[in-house]
Amino acid sequence: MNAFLRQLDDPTQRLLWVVTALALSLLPHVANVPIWIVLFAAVTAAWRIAAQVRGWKLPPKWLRIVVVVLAVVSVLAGYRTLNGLEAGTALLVLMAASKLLETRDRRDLTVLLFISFVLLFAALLYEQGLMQLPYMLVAVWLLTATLMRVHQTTSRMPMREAMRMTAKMLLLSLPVAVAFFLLFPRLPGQFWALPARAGATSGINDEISPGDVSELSLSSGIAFRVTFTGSPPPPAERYWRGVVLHDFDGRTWRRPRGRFSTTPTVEPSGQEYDYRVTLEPNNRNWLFSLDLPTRWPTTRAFQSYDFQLLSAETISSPTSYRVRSHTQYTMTSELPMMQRNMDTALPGERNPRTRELARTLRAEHPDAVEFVQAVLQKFRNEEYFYTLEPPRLEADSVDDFLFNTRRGFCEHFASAFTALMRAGGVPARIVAGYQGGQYNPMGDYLIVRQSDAHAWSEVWIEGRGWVRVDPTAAVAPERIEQGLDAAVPEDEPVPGRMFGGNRMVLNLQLAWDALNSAWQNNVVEYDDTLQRSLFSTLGFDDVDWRSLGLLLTASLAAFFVALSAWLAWRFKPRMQDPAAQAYAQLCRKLGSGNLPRRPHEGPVDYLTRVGVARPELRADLDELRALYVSLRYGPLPMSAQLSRFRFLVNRLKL
Amino acid sequence: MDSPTPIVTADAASLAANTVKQLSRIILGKEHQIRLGLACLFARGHLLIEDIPGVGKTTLAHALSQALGLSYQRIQFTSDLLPADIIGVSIFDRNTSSFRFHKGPIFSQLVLADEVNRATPKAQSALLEAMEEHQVTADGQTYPLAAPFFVIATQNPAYQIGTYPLPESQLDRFLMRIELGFPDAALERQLLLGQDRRDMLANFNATITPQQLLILQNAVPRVHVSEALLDYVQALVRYTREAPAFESGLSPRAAIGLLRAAQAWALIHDHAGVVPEDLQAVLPAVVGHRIKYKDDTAARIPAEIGRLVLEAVPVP
Repeated sequence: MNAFLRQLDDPTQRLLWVVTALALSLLPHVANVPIWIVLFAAVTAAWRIAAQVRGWKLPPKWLRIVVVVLAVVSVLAGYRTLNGLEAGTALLVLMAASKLLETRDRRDLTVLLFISFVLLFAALLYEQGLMQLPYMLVAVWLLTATLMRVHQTTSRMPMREAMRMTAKMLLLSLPVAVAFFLLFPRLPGQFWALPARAGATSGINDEISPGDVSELSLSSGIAFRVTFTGSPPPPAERYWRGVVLHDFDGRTWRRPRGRFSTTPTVEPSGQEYDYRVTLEPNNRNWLFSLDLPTRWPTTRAFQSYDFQLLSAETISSPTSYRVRSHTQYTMTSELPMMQRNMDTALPGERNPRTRELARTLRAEHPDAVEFVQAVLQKFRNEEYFYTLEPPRLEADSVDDFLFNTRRGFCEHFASAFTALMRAGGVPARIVAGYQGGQYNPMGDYLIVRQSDAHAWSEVWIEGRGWVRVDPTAAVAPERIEQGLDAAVPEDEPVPGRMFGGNRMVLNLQLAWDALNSAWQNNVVEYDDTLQRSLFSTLGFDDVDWRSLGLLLTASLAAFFVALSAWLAWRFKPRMQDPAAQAYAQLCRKLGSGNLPRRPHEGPVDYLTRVGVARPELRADLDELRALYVSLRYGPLPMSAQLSRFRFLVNRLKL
Repeated sequence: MDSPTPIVTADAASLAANTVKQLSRIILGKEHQIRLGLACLFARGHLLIEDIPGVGKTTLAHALSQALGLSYQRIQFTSDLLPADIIGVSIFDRNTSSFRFHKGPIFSQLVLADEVNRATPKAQSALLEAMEEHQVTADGQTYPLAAPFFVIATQNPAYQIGTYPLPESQLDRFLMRIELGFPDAALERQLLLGQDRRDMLANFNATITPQQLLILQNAVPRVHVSEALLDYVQALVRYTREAPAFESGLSPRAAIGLLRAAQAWALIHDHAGVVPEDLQAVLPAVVGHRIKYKDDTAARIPAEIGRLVLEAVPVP
């Protein structure tokens, strides 16, 4: 490879390096732009290199203009705009590729490199995870080294040399970067935030059909992380409330649109949990919180009548928020009529056997609580199975599940239970969210994954309000106590099960997750609040942008003073020789008398020259010269000579 | 001077001064070059004299050999010169029925290789190998060369017609490279009036005996070198390595050569230790043929390189 590179001439080498740099900055965007743009860039790069090697002519100006116009038009056609992150990225990639067609001299290469830098930083607008950090660092390193390599004019600079020097430069600039990061005044609010991007939604949906949650549970992707101020609640109480579903069509549960009702009055009791949730982007606008949230950030979220927390904006980037919850609560108010009607509605003729069963049971148990217990008893005592791989259900899904298949995941049980409650005249609804979470001792927080996705029911009991009933707990209590892995049969594909036995892999996973979470919380999310709290721990209370600016200036000044001092020390001429010091003093003296020593002038030549210019000093100068030569260069310098030399230097009058 | 007596530097200086005086009568106005040549030989280095024809290169070389009283052979390098013409040949001896090696002109103490760049690289390398190894090998037999052994080579500037320029690796074997240049008008007039140089050379007596020369050569590495001077040497060498104008800097071998030459210069000039001026005096001759400019057009004047290096590096 090296030998091959060396035989190429310098412009070709430079071009190859610049194309490499461009490719490196394009790589993170491959998934963000349409495939034809990637192909266009690859073809242009290959063609440009071939043209360089074969000596082909570059395309004429009109052709290049046509290419650029076509590129702009196709981006416009594809995105309907040239504005915004995706369209902007696509345009930038196209322009960089087109620029290759007219890359002739050093200036063009420089422009290409700057475009590469912009492209690389644009990748940060998409994703700022820890995973990318090494790649970004290496890419910046290589880009800067290429910039240096391209601008090396006097001789060929080996790339290794350029990389070495760039590494040194980047390391030296690190303190400045850290100072800017920590001290640059941050504006509160969403000033820096990017407009929300249309991305794929993920996680819990606002409609659930049988099989949806079990499918979601196959993913080990992270839904959110929770850091508790105190101790977390016991596993059985870790119900993460997400979406509340009311409308049932016999198969699918949906969230009704545009229906509002009054919120029941909640009387919390028992312990209050104070925690911070960091939500992974899901491109939806609901927030998850421990059932039941009692305090939340009112500027960014509101609570609906059914206790669902909704964000004002779509969650398109990792978002964290602080919530307080009580797991024990009662409701004192009455259920409004409209809501009662909504939550007892069942579709006309669907699921007749379920209705029949509900009627029978309700007749036996007129009390609502007893009715609930009777249904749970049925799940518990009869042959029902909890499984990740439930069989497909007929159109009357509840009938099919209750009487035929009897095998289901949480949504099957929740759906059947809720339908039975409604058929029995008890207001009931489905809550979808997560249950459980893995405690990470390395970062002291809970990881809640998609595999913790769960659905349960809430029923309205007069005098107590909405009461959470989890029919899954009746069938598979292990699911609630120990998680999915413990609850489903051993041959089912629970995510992470294949590593299940390996303690080390698990610990590695947890460590990596803790690292990621720390990166996310302390670096990516570093905002004005974090900045202020950081400085208050350092003893600066309530810093404003003025004092931050001052601090920044001061620390930069300190850095440069330290750097200059170090450089001065590093390149200080060695002056420990007292004879050299005395000679320097002599030179200063003579220099102020308009006979300065030229730097490259030796002492014999210099003092002889001065002696010629100032004959009246000649005798002294001759002696000084002899003494200095003996002191500095002679085999036997004597201290008596040094004191004589100093004496003569002091005596010298110009 | 039957028994070699240790000489102190003052003796070395007076010997050298006498020699310079004698030589200056033949080579007019080239005292500095004569001193450099002497310093080079005292430092056991080979000398390369480069200039256009007719400025006295051969005369200087011849005069130096006369002054040092060494056995002397001259090889005129031509394009048809063969290695055997330098080293010698094995000839069949009828009486002993065996081959006998007839030593070539290289087996003398001072070899003048005249117009060395007129010969083919093959002949050049035969000479240069002998210079490096101080011995020659012919027919599997190794023959040591005379001691002391010097080569004074003269060469025409490389841009003259019919020359094979010495490659850099071989140039490196010459401790110094000096130029003579035209004499100034007054001296040239004296030259025109004076007697034939060849006759003068014939009557020229050695000013230094071989024993004295040996003692002088041994005295050179013992001339005191202070830390301060080593700093200066290293600063100069570092500059040649780091300066962007040069293709490659001085090698460690060149640095040692520079120091030895400066020591010899200090010995000639009666300095107890080497002073920066000694170094400055020899540096252009030592580095001129070892450093190449990146920009080829500026490489014509090697003396200029020395001046550039000296002016760029402050004396510590």
